[in-house]
Amino acid sequence: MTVFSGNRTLLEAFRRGERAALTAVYQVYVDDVAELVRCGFTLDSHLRVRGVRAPDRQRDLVQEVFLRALSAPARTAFDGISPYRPYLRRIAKNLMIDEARKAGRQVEVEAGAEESPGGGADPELPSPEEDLEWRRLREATRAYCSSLSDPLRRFVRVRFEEEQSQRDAAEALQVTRRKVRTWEEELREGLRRYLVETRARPRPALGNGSGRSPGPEGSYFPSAGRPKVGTGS
Amino acid sequence: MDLSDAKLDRLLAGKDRLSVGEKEEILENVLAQVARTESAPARLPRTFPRWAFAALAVLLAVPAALLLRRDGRDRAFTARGGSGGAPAVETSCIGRGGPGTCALGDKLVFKVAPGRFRAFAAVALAPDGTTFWYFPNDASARSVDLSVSSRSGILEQALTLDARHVSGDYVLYGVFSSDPLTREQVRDAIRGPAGPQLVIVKRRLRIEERRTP
Repeated sequence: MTVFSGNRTLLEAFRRGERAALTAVYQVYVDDVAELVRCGFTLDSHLRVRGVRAPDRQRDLVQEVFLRALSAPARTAFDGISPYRPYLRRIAKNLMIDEARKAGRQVEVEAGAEESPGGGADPELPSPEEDLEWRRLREATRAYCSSLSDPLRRFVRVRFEEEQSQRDAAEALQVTRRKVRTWEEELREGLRRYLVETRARPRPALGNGSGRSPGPEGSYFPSAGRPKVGTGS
Repeated sequence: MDLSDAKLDRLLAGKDRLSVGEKEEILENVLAQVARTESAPARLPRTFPRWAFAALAVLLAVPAALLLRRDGRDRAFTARGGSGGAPAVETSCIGRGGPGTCALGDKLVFKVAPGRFRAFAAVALAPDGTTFWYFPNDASARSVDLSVSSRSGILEQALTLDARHVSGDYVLYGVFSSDPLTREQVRDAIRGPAGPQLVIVKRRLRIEERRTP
């Protein structure tokens, strides 16, 4: 089943390069491509290509995949019948293999590993350090969010967790798009400041032999006062 | 510690994967790049030797330098209705700030040198993906008929950079055509290959936050 199945209008608009059609196709497949880039994949020949952890490289690769797939030659060459998802994944895989080769990295060999029939990627686990850092930041972000006004908390849910567009978020919350953009900027700035401030505070020592564990949240809990962020007006 | 906007968005979403903002940014970049590629003029064949480009550049540079020296001014902006020079468009803003900058709330003024063309349309693509139609500014209207506008090339209708605008870098498309076009025709022209009946000039337009008095 492809996004074009039974939708001749979409296919024709896509081939003509209409913005709305390209956007629709992108929105259907972007998560799948991003997941492949993030998690890596295995090849039939039992080779494994590692996922990309760096956010900027993830973005670059996903962008390159869609640049190729949505270019005029690729669009016009697409028959509209072949499944589109495997086509996008093939572009992504080739790019990742090329990148691994250019970087001089050997593609890791894993005996007996094959991509699952559904094309599902093997999750690439972060390093323990990355994982710990992420969990600390995430805990701090939760603390920060809990200090927000009700409208801003709803905004975080709608815009960031549910991933609604600025337009839809504005409609859902009955505010203007300008307000949505202002909230986004305020939230980021407030969270950035909060994370820097909490980072600067003394942290409990890890593994100091005292037998006490600081817990996954480390020093990010806003024990010394919570941020005042946004009134939601 | 990486505290980029993208990282903060991921933290707010609670997932260490592409955030909604990152996905939107990628989409905008892709759409802009696709539009740019498809509106670009056809390239010279690959067989054209590289040394020929250098030779051509030298041949053009010498008379151009002499011309500029003689006139002491930039000749790129040819007089309106001139002998078929390349069409050009310039924008400037009238507001509280100095020349060369545009801010929200300013009046945007267009000056065009149409060369052999008779009509002009202008569309801008905002950083957030919004399209702004400057000419024609009405859905049922056509592009500006330059044969009835002022000889200076300055279009009479100034546009206010109103509240719908956001600050940032806009891509401005100036579409010169032999006959006035509808919005639909302008849209098709920007998307499709340019033909002999029209020329598309692309400019970057930077709009800053509203200036404080």
